[in-house]
Amino acid sequence: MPNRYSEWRIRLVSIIAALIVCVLVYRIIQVQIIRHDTYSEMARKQQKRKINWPARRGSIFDRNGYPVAVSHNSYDIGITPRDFSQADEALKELSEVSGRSLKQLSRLLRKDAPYVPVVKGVNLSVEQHLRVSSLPGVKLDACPERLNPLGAMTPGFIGSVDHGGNGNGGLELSLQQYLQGSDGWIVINRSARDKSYRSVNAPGKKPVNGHNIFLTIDSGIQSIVDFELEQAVDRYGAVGGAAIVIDPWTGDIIAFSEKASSRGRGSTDWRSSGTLYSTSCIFEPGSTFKLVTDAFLLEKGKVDPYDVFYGENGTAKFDFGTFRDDHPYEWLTFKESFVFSSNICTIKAMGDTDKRDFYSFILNMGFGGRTGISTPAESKGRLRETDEWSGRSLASISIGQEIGVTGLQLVMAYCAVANGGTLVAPRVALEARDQDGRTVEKFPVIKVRRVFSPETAETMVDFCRGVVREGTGTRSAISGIEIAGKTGTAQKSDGYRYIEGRYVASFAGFAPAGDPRLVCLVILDEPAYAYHYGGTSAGVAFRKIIEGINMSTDIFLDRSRSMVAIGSDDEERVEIPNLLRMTAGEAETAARKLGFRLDYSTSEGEIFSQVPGPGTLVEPDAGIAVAFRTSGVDTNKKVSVPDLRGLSIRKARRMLIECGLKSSIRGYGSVRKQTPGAGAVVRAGDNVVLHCSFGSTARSHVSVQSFRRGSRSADISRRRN
Amino acid sequence: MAEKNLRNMEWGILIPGLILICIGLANLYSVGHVPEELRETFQMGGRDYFHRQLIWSAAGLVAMIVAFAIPFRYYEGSAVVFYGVSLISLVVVLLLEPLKGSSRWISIGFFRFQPSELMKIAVIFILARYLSEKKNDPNRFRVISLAILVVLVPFTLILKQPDLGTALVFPALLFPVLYWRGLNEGVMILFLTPAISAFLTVYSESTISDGTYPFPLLVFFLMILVVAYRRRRRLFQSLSLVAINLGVMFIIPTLMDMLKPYQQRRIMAFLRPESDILGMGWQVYQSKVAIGSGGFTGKGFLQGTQKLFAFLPERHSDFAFSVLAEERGFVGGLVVLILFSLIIARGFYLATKVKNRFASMAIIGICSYFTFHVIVNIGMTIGLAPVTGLPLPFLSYGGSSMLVSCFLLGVLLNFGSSFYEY
Repeated sequence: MPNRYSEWRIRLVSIIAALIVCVLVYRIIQVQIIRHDTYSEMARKQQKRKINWPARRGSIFDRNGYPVAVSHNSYDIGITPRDFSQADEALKELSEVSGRSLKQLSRLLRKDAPYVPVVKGVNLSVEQHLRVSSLPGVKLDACPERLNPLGAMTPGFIGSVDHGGNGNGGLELSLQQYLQGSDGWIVINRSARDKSYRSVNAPGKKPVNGHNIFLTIDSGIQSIVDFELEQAVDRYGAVGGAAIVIDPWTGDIIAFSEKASSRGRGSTDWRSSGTLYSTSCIFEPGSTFKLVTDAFLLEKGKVDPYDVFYGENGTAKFDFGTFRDDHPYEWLTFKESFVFSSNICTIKAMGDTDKRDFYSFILNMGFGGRTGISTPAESKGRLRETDEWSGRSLASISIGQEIGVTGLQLVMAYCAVANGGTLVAPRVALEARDQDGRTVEKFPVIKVRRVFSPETAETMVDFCRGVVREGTGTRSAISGIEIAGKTGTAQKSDGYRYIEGRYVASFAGFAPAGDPRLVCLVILDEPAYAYHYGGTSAGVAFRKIIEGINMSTDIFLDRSRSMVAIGSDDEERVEIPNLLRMTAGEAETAARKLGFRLDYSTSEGEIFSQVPGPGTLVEPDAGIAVAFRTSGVDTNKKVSVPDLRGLSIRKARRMLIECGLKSSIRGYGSVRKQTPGAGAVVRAGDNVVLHCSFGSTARSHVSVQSFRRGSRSADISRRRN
Repeated sequence: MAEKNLRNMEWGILIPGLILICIGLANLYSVGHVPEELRETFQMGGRDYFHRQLIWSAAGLVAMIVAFAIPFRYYEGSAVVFYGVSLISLVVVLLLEPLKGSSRWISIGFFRFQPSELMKIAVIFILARYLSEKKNDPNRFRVISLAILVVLVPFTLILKQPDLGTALVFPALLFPVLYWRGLNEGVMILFLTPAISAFLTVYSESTISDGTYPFPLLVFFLMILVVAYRRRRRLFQSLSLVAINLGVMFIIPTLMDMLKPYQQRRIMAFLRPESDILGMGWQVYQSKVAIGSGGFTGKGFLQGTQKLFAFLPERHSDFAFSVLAEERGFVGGLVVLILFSLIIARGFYLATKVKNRFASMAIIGICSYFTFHVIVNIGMTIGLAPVTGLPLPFLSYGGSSMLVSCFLLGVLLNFGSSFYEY
């Protein structure tokens, strides 16, 4: 229809169509070019997701590289019933992994929910993980877990890790900055159906894994201390106990143990597992504090070790009040006042000392301030300013009252004596290494300050020797190693007055006295009254700890250190040979060649123990005590059982070992009864049950771990009788 | 006659058409494509749209050649029969079992087709035939009533399927053809403005509730007043124009209020998808994100992420353009628009050139078909038009649509090459 009119019409239609197209194009420009960034952002937001890529927490090892705390993943398993294939194999697999029965599972599957949790905190092997995660509709959530492969040693000390992978108390918290590493992230693509995928070139940041920490703790010694402390808390009926073993030269904490008895969990100091008694709780140290007092007096030249003081027969009235001694004494030298722990003589020795001098000396010794150990919530202790002291305070503080200390402060003071007068800071970690084993940071030994002269230190060591040799601490003596230490018995107060019958028994000491390798403090909180003296409970626990350490390590036989000593002053000394695993004849020959004397009771079997140990430097004509043990396999040999009644467990055990017999112990104290009885002839390697004077009926079986395997043969031997 | 046809081949229509088919195929290939490393994670819904469309495109080319080869007078002659057959198939489809909630398809063996697509061709031809007769002046009441009836019957049947989008195609075909045949502008305006008024009124209601003034409605009403003043010599027409539009503007809100709230919401969501992002607006929202994030040059072929991660719904059919715009950007979208515009513009030109009245009418119908589909589909993807499910010719997956589009393109070529015939 080619006419002008219709052409006008077609033009109009075209124009309208063109206008509409223009609107479209304008809109497309608006969406695609002007608002491009907005829409890109929207697309990115719904398609990409930034996911945290958690760093692996570093592990904690002891000083020998044994794992103390390592991270591990456990899994929460859940299902999406809608997606779960109801096939039997899938159900079976899930049932096997989750520990739920097939019936329970099918009930869960019938639930009309998008997600049904099945089980929490399961450990999966790699293979199981692979199989389970490939099942449709099964969701695995990894939950990081912290494991303590060596068993939980004093939970509050190591601390724990929360669900977010952060340290929660203890060293886990204080070493967090080394352990945590830094998380990375990845961007994953996400589809509208909520499936996700990480594309190859997706941006991301790899996590930096946390560093491994090597502690100063020796897990072997720690386990000895743990065991002996637990026994002690149990045996002496304490609410709790703490023991610290420390290297006086470096301040390295070798063992750090705390045990609360079931009774103790009700008491304030032992209630929460997160609080460390030795660093956060304060107690009145009592006589163990006299070390500080005496060191002060000696250092200032106020007294001489052999100055004599009158002990007033146990009760002395001073201007500022009355003080008592537990045992009445008359005349004591200054040294004896320490050895026998006379409060009166100590106070008298203090005389008219300026309290500010004493105060600043105590401060210098590290009391009233934090030691700097890196466990959380360390207490400063309680040391009042001199302005607040009453007339009685100087005397009270000199015998360890009216002052609150932490166990750690006390043990650091003993370290200062042991190492010749230098206060060191406690050290818990040796070094941090990255995941490839490169050392990242070495934690230095921190010598805080010299607090008294080496001469004072030497005198104090001599004092401490006296305590063990003839004073209040004789029960801590060990044959072969000279112990030096101090007992402490302090009445507990509720803040206003002393509470009748509640004591803190403590023993702090070091071994060997001549060349201290380890300082150890044992504190027992509220032991039964029969054991309330530091010497009878804490001192015994101390001895057992040192004995245990001596038996399992050669830490007291440090050759390098004694060699230096030899070269300088005594050329006469000879090194003791290694007689271990020798028979009597061989040992005799070897010993005689070097001019030693052998000292033993029976001589059957091989030598399993010698004192002094191999490598010790002694006078040429010294005696070596050796103990024999018949080799375990030779069971055909008949042995007669010795009479053990009335002996201490330790002695009885040693005798049995020498006879080639095993022992299991019921109760504690001294041996009351034995099965088989004395003189019975049994086969070597058989078990002898020792019924002891205390608790042999109350607690059915306290067997020493290493002899546990003998318990069955004990029953056999009893029947034979 | 074939020789003459070939000599006068409308390259301006054929080449853009073929390019569009190729673009459509490439686009569908991209829709079905999943990168190797993602195969396990993102499994696409089973159907291989690309290969199926390849077959449909081949069939479409055959249809185009057939449409081109048939002497155009046969169209005129068979228009009534064709219309009748289509009408019957539309009735049949309503009697068949519904598929996916609506009765749109007739299955013949493995082959399924939509009678409504066939009806589009039928309506174009029957309108062209009826109005091409000299005696049928569209300004006469009888003629216009019959023309409307011809369209109203399939409109109603398709509405019953229910398929509002497709149904709306028919009025969209009717008015351009009527206008081209010489319908009085006044009548035309009288027909069209109430529809626009109704749309704007509903639209304005929602904008008022959003706190903005209904400017589009006011502007439109002013335009009506201006037109009425300009045509004041036909006083009756002018007054009724103003009266009807005013009436619509007042009645619609009252009607809306009578509807149940959920019905109101559906109407709102239909007209303004962005007001209901989690429901009906989800598709449009995602489509806009796809297009918008494509930017000027796009993310690159096969690189569309909205498409890949299945955020974009119906990406093979209704929202094929969004995939294209995401991967090829503004440039790609513009190219497609230009290609369609070329076909349509050439079609309008042809309509004035062909000597045969039937052919001229039919060409206008065909152009309207393409225009309406392109505008509604693309408008839908950018949130300008309601989501109706109208496919984009050549680009959207779908056999019926492809066959019909190709056939109509063939008819255009046919008429174009024999423009000199009376």
